[in-house]
Amino acid sequence: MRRFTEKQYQRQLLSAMSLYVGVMLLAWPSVKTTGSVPLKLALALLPAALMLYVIGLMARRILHSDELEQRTHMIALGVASAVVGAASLVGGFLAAAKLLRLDGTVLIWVFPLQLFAYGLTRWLVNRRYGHDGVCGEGGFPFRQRLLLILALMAAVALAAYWRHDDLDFGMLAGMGSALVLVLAWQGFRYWRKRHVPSGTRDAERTR
Amino acid sequence: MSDRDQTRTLQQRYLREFLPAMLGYVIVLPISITPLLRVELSTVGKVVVALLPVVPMVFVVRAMLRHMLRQDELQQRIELQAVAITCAVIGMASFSLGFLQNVRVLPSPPWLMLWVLPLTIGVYGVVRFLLARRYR
Repeated sequence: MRRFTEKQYQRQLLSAMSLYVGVMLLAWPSVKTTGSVPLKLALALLPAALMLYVIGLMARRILHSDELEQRTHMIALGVASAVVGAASLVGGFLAAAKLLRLDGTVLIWVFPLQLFAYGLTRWLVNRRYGHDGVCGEGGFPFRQRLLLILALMAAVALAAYWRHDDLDFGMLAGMGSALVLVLAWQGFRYWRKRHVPSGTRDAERTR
Repeated sequence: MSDRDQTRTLQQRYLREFLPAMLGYVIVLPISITPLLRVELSTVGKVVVALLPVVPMVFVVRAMLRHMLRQDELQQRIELQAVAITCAVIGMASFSLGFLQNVRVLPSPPWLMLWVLPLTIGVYGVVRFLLARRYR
């Protein structure tokens, strides 16, 4: 089996995500205006096709990982399924009780929530097993990935601002601010690593 | 202890945790739905009653996760593949459905979300059965 490196995975994933944002910004607005049902269907399923590619990438990554990594993947996927299942159950009951106004379109968020819960759990489990996961794992540095995600979010936020979509703009601005804080924290850690000798850091930690 | 006995012991431990939790869900669900449909409750009351079925479901999920982590390597590999395939199927299906509902090609009833967890469990069960049969 040909080796599938972390760097290859991240490069292909980031390209697919950039393409996805591009599709959502350029093609998606025309879905609601077009009258042709086949075109509507094709444009609506285009983002799903890109996500299918992302799932394929993730499957390749899992298949090429060692036993310990497979265990962390399993825990992360299990937790992600549990979180999504529980959240949808709560949301569904609240919607059935008419306490929340949700319609079926909320299903779009199932997959992103799965990805988020999977990523977060895997990061936490990796930390527990003794490695950060943030420092690259042979892929791109975490800061670079974060910067690209921020750039993509900024593009979507700008489009939401032009469309006068206050909800999307507010949500993206909030998420973007949180990411800027994480980036600042990472920058501080990086600066500290380079400027403070490791002996001093150890002494501080034991104090 | 032979492999067969070990598997049986693990299965029994799993069922001891899973069945009471599932039974709790089956009992709590109608208890929760009936007052929501028939009795006029305050907002806090509605939230509490609507969230009641989630409590046994947390124990169901806990039982499943604990069972996965107790198993041997081959079983864990089967579990990993089953969970990964389930996540992919549910993720893709909900994503495509959500987009199709967004452009009004399909109707979007509010109760649709309630089907995510039962479908996840169903797909996982079928996929796990098929994978286990393949490795037998």
